[in-house]
This record gives sequence, C-alpha cells and structure tokens, in this order.
Amino acid sequence: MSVSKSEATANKTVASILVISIAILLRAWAVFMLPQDYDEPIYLQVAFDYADAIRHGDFNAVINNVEVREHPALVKLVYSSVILALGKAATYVNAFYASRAVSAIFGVIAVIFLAIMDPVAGGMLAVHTLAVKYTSQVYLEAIPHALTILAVFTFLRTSKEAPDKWFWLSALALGAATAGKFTYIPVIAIVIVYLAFFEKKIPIHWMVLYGLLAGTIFYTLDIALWHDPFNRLLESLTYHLHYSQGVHVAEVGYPWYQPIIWVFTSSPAQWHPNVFFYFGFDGLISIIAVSGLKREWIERRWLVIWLASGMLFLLVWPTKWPQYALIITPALCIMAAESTRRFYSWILERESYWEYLREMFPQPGKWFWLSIAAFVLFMGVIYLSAAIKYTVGRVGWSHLTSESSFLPSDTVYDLLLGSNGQMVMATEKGAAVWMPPLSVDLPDRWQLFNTHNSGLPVDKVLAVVRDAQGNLWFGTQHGLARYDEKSWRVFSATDMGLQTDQMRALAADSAGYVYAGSLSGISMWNGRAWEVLPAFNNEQVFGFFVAKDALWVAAKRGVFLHHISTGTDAFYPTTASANAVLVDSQGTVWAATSSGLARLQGDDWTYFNTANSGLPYNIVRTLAEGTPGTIWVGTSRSADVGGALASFNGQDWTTYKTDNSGASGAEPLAIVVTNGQVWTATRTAGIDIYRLGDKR
Amino acid sequence: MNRKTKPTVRIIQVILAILATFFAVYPVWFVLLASGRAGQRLLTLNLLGTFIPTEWSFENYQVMLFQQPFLDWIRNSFFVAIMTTISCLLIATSAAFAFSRMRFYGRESGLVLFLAIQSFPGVLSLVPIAQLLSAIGLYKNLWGLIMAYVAGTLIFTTMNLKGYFDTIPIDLEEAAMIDGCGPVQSFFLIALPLARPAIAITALFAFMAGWGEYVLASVLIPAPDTAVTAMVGLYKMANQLSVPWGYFAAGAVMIIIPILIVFLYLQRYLEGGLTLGGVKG
Repeated sequence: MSVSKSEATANKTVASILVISIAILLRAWAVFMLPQDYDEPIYLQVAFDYADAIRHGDFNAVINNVEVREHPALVKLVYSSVILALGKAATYVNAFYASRAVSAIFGVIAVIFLAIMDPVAGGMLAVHTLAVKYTSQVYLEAIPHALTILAVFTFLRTSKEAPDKWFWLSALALGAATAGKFTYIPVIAIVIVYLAFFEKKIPIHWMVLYGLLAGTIFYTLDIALWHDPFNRLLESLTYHLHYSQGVHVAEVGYPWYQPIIWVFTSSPAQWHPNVFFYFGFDGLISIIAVSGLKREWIERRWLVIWLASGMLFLLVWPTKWPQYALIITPALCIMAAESTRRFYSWILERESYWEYLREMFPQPGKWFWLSIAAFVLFMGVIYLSAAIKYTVGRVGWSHLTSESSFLPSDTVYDLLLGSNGQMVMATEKGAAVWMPPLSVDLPDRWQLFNTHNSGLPVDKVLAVVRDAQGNLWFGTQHGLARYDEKSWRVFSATDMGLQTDQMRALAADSAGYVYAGSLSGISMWNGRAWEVLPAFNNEQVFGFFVAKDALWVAAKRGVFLHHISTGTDAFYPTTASANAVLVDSQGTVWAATSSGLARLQGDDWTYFNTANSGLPYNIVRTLAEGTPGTIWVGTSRSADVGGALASFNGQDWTTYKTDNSGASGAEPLAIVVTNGQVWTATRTAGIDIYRLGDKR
Repeated sequence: MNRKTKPTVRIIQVILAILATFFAVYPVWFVLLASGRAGQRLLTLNLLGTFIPTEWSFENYQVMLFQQPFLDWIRNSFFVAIMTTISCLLIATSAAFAFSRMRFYGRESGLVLFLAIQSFPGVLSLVPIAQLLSAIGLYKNLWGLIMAYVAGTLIFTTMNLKGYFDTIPIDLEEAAMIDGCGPVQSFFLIALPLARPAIAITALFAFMAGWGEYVLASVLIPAPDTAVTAMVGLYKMANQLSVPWGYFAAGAVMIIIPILIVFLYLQRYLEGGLTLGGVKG
C-alpha cells in the first residue's frame, strides 16, 4: 500500500514538473512573440513614471499619480521595480520585455498553485491560451490571477475548528489580489464566503478578522489610496461603472454573451497563430468542465459557485474584455481535470477487459519513434542554430518605420545628414527632419513637411540637399522646393529650363551653387537664377557627387565629370545605367551601376559583381563611404523585390541580408554613415540603422 | 520445373532495374542536394555536384524554419490532415458498414450514385464548394478545407471499406449477436477490429489527401501567409520573376520526411490494403 502511495506521489511530482515546464516554455515563447497589446504601453508608461518618482525620492508623486488610477497600484509598482532594477540601462524595449517576464513568472506561479491542487488542472491552465496571453503581457492580470488561486487554495486547507496559518495566508492573498485588480474580487469573495459559512462553518467573528486583514493588506499595497483612501476608492469604483457605460465599450460593441465566446473558443490562437501554434484547447476544456457540472454540484459545490458567479458577473458587467475571463479559468480547469480523470478511468476499466484500443490503434516500433525523434531533433537544432545566428546578427540594428515612429512613409528616397546629428528624410509622403533626443530620458523629435503644412508642391520627395547658405532644397516628383527655415519657394521645370520636372538628384557645392538633376538634364542655381548645363541636355540624371572643383554625375549612359570652374566635361560610359557615383577619401571614383559596382581606373571601369566578388546582387543603387576606404553599397534584387546592404574595404566584402543581420531586406535607396551608424533609406521598410560597434 | 534465366537476360533485367530505381530516386536526391546548396540555385555547373553533395549548408533550412512561417504551414497541414483522417474514418467506416450489412431503401441507388460522383472531376466542384463554404462562414477557415477534403475522399474510402466489410463473414457478427451483441457493438467490437488493414489504408489515404493537396487549399485558404497549408505556402514563395529554389527544396525535404516515416511504418498495410476492398463488392 505504501509503495503505491509513494508511486502516486512520484507520478504527481513528475506530472507537476512536466506541467510547470510546459507553462514556462509557453509563457517564455509568448513574452517574446506576442505583439504589443493595446494597454501595455499605458501600464508601462505609468511604471516609468513611478520609477522616475521613486528614483527621485518623491513618493508623493507615486501616491498621487493619476494615470490609470482606476486600477490599484500594486502591479504597476511591480513593473516600476523592474525598471528600477534595470537602472540606467532601462529603455522602453528592455523594460517592456522584463515586465512581460515578471508577468509570465506570476503566470507560471498560478499554474504551480493549481498543479499542487491538481496536476491535470495545472496542465490545462498551462496551455490555456487566454491565461498564457494575458499573463505574459504587461497587463494587470498575472498577479491577481495567481493570488486568487492561492486565496481559494489556502482557504480550502483551512481547518474547521480554529483559524490556522492557511486561513491567514488566504486573507493575505485575497488582500494582495485586490491590490492587483478589482475585477477578480467580487467572484472570489463569493467563493470564500460560501466556503466559510456553508462548508467550513467558520464563525462570523473570524471571518470579520479575515476581512479586516485582507482589507489592511489591500490598503497597504495599493499605495494610490494612502492619501485619501475612501474618496479614491470610490473614484476608482465609479470610474469602472462609468467606463463600462462609456463610448469606448460601446464602440467595440461586444454582445452580452461575448464572455461565453471567450471561454468556449481559443480566441488568442486565432489572433496570434504563430504564438499559439497548438490551436488552443480552451473550448475543449470548457466543454469538458461543463459536462461535469452536475457531479461537481454534489461533490464540490464551491467550484460550481465560482463558475456560476464568475460567468454571471462576466455576462452582466457591460465591459467584455477577453482578459476578464481569467476570473473563471481556474474553476474551469479544476472541473475539466476531474471530468477528464473520470472519463480516463472509465475508458481504462473497459480497456482492461476488452483491450480494444490496444487492438485497434497501431503500436509503432522503436524505429518509428526513433525516426520521429531524430526528425524533431533535427528541426530543433536547425531552429535553435538559426535563432542564435539571427539574434546575434540583429545586435546593433534598429529601424525607423511609419509604424514605430513619425516617419511619414516607409518609402524613403534620400537622406541628408544635418548639423547636431539631424537627419533629413525625403519620403513618398513628404519630408521629415529627425532630431536626436536632447538627453537620454527624452524622446527624439520630428518635424514633418508635406503639402498641407509647407510649400512642398507635392508629397513625393525624391532628393534633398542643403546649400552653403543653410537652405534646404527638396527635389520632388513635380518641381523643386527651397526652404530657408522661414519661407518656401517652388521652382518648376520651366523655371529651371528643364523639360521634365521630376527632380531625381540634388547637389550643392561650397561656392553656393545648387545642381538639380532631372530626367532631361541638369540645371544649376547660381544664387540668383537657374542655368542649364548644356553638356547634359536630355541626359537622365540619377545622382551627383561634389568633390572639390568637380561635379560627378551618374546618368543613364554612364558617369560624367563636370569641372565647375572651367566648365569642361569628361564622360566615362558604363555598361549599364549609373545610379550613383562616389569619390572616396583616397580619391577613387566608384559608380553604382545596374551591372555591379564599378571602380574607375584610368579611363576604364573595373566591375565587381556577384560572380567575381561578395556583392550580394548586381544592381547597385547607392553608395556611401564609412571609415576611410570602406565603401557601403546598397544593392537590389534583379528579379524580385528587396535588396541587401554590403560593405567593401578594398579586400573583403561583408553582406547584410535578412538571414545574417537585422537588415529589413528592403531595397536600399540611400545610405548615410555618421557617428558610427549606417542609416539606410529603403523602398519599403523605412530606415534601417546599424550601429557599427566593433564591426566597423 | 526450374527454368534458369540466361545471363544476358539477367544482366538486362538488372540494368533495367537500376535505371528504374535511378529514375525514381534521383528527383528526391536532386531536391535534397538543392536544399543544401548555397544561394537559390536549382542547378550547379559542377557536374559532380549534380550527383553528390560537393557543397552543403543548412542555411536554407534555417531560413525556412526561422524566417518563413514554415512551422505555421506544417502545423496547418498537420491539423487539416489529421482532422480529415479522423472525420473520414468516423464517417466512412460507419457508412461502409451500413452499406455492407444493412438492407435499406436507396442502398443500391446510393452505391451507384457514389460511383457516379467518383467519376466527376473534383476540380470542377471548386467554385460551388467555395460558394458553399462562403455562405456558411467557413471560407478562409481550416475547418472549411477539412470539410471539402472529407467530402472529396469519402467516396473512395467508403467504397474501399465497404468492399472489405463484404469479405468479412457475417457469421462472426451473428455469433456475437447470439451472445448478446447489438448492431452497434458488433460493428465496434467485431467488424472494426477485423477491418484494421483496410482502416489503415483508408487513414493513410485520407491523411495524404489532407497533407499534399494544393488546388483546393490554395483557393479555399488564399491568405494570410500564416494560415495556409504547407503546399500552398511553399508555392507562394515563388513569384513570376524568380523561385527561391534553395528554400523551396529545404521546405520540400522537411515536408517529405514525416510522411516518409509514416509510409515506411505503414508499408505492411500498404502491400495488401488497397486490394483488400477489391475482392468482392
């Protein structure tokens, strides 16, 4: 008998370890893979505010913080402690993931509590998609969810005779859960009251003490109440009432039965199929749980009361957010676990007589399982090696996109480095000036120009340059615009003596001249008027490079050299269109052509292409020089969208593709190297920024 | 009587066998080689490299597993294939048993109708199926695809199983009924265990229908990229201008292997399973 008991204990331990491992893996996966959810930035911002106030010793600022005060302070305070622990290294991104990790830890703790009670129920909570999602995000659910399970679990262990440690622990957990989020409390309070008065027959005075202890813990941990507890508590509760009747809830328009849908479907698996790759078993768990209602009413009525009161609350309360369903998930899992166990026993009993399943189902041999295991291992090793490779490759890369910043469009045609680290961007939907933050704790700044707020003739800006006087010139799809920080002036093709007004290239020299390249030639601004350069009549001009007295021109037929002082020209034809030209610090002339990277030696070009070098693709769009002698090359795929960045130091090539770096893989259109960073304007993915670091 | 084959005939037989084997195996070997070749080249200028791996990298596999939603595709395919198999077995076994054992109004015409439907090209039913699924809200839904596959495979599987049930002597069930079995019990406890080989081949057939089908899957689940099945996902990687052959080959290898393992395991059923239902009926 003792052997079977020890065996049962061992089985339970193994099952619990398995369940906890699954819970950890799924939540860790969710922490990294789930996209940022609606409320996460809000709670994180409050956490940053709390952390900032605590860092300055201003606790009143924490207590009086009015942001999302409708929710108690405990969980936000926990997130702020994460930010404090990160210290000066805290950024939005690392604080975001660290806070998610803390949330996930409490999600796992909830599973552990349930697994101690019932390993099968713990297993069901471990894979429950709603629980995984909302306890792996910077939401308020994880801590109160775990604590309410603890409160009920410990209360169940409470002795009927006299209050013991479990009784007081339950009160502590309930108080702390209340300080985490209010929505859990009405339901759990009903369960506790039922257990106390109907099952355990605990005297009322002990329950009054229980309530007092829970209330004290709640008040202690919800520091937002410290200054004016009753009014602030009332404010919070009335806020929820008003919010539930408010515009936002009405706009979303969930029907009254929406909680049933949340509980009986695995909605997170539909929203995030890459995270919940197993489709989710939420609906199955709920169906199995409901199938055992009658039995549970007889054997464990408190569970039915938990489920019924919880579902009633969810149905009646007008706010129907999916995370609210977490209130009843533990009850569902416990009930489903018991039903599953009974069904399994029923099957086992019949199977031991009939051996039907053993007869019917295939019994694969060890070679089958070994083959499957080898295949899974192969996939796992490849996946892990790729994860390590790409994670290492992405170090130092960041991106500016229209989604993550104020960049007007993800199609960026040109970049211009300004003073004080400014970057001017020419995009499909206007121009933008990016200014770095004034200090590390302040955000970056943006100034946007478009047809609505500036003198730009059209939104599509193809090129940008700053002249010697400090004026900004924008080459657009239809004409040229000059901005002198106060006013705008627009020049049409006719004004400039050109036939086409699509301004593809701009350059300015130290003498104050500005060169505008179009698809029909070049016009030069001499400070008073435009002069057409006759040598380039009808040339399709794509790029300029100004070097001392020389203007290098990249054009359809090849590269031209225009001596500014003498006005003489030289022509170096290329085998394909020249898209950009560059003279490096050592005086070497490079041309970005559609048949590779070309280097001028004497009067001839030497071509680097995919066949004879490390150039990723043969169409070279843009060029820039980094450290002296290192050329950065933007290439585009010939038969597909996208491209790659590469650098060439005269001997070795380094390529930056999506499979070995954090590059977006979009086609590079312009490159600027500054302050140890490579900024790459792309056709479809905004701007890729690569911090050179040791790899410079 | 022992007839000895002439050595020349023997040699020709062996050569033919080698050629046939090469013809059958080389495409798979070719895909395996392409999957490990750097870049997106289907062919190599190195003659030796056409037959043996002269260069090898797992880069294409890494890209497929980490940068493409390949695992989503595999998951979707597995889900569709397994649910198709289960649904098909549930319906086909009971339907086949009823057709084999019971006499009811419309039985004969039902069997004829089955054969008539079987001769109807499945692709022609694509538009009505899409419209039907759209009407019931299952268009772009894996369950809709499963329904389409089950409907498509049910005819063959039911006919195959019916043929096999016909070969099982009814005396066994009658004996069981004398011992107290009802029709349902005799179906579950007598007929199904005896029909295991046919059920295995039916399961395999249904699984393959759900795993490797392209046309229905591409029409019924056109997007998004993470929702499509493996075959559709692989094909979507190609465009009008280029095909990433390396990724394509790596994906193909990873799709083939699990099926290969299942086939090798079930081969003993395959040997006889397909012909089992054709004995009678």
